[in-house]
Amino acid sequence: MAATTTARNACDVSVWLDDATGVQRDISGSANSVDFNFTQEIGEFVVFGDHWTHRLCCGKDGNFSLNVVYTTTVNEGWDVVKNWLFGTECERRTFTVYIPNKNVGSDMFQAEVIWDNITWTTDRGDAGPIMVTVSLPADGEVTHTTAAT
Amino acid sequence: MGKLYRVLGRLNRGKNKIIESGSLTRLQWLEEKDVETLIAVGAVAEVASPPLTALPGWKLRANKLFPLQITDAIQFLDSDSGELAVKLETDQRAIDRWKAEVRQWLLTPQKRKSGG
Repeated sequence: MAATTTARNACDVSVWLDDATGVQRDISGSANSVDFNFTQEIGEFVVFGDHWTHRLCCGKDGNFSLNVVYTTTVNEGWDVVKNWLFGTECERRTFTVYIPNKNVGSDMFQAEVIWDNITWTTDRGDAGPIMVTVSLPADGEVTHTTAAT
Repeated sequence: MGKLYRVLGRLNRGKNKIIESGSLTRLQWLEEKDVETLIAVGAVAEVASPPLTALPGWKLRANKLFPLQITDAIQFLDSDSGELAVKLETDQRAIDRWKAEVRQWLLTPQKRKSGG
């Protein structure tokens, strides 16, 4: 089979997160990675006279892990996350990722998410920027659409 | 009017405006290069227009439309309902009903979600 000519990297991925007022903020310029983790519940059974395992599918789940740079500018990734952390309890926000970029034809993944873990380390010996990791489990469906605008 | 496209994956027009898979759209808000991109990524496909005579129960209506140089489904959908009603000496609502029927023939049946 011929080698693909449409491989894409993550350089121009576009990441958006709601701020406290529900406005989607482009935090791509202050974030540098998003991990996607999808799971599906599987139930197994084997019946008499059959040596092979059968499986049934049930619930799906999606989790994201976002890395933002610790910055001091309003509406950048850390500012949005910080206000979320110290804002309303258990607030859902819309999280959107466009791959490979935010142009027509790109994959658009979107979910209502809650943060369940926010971590960062301040290390005197590290000259690199402080990175903040935010774990974002989805509350409900993770949708996939194709960007058409 | 522009070409007609079948949506193969869900399209997002922004502000949570979703165009569901299987529906028809003219993508009139996009430039041609963007439409080509959507075709290239498999998100949409141009609808091949069937001749009206091929649609079940449409032979008589196809024969009426033939003298008006309307021979396929998209030509018919693109035509002005009011003008057609006058030319065919019928009610415009009847023409609109026919169009709705043709549109249904062009739609892709939705996949059922399988359980278990």
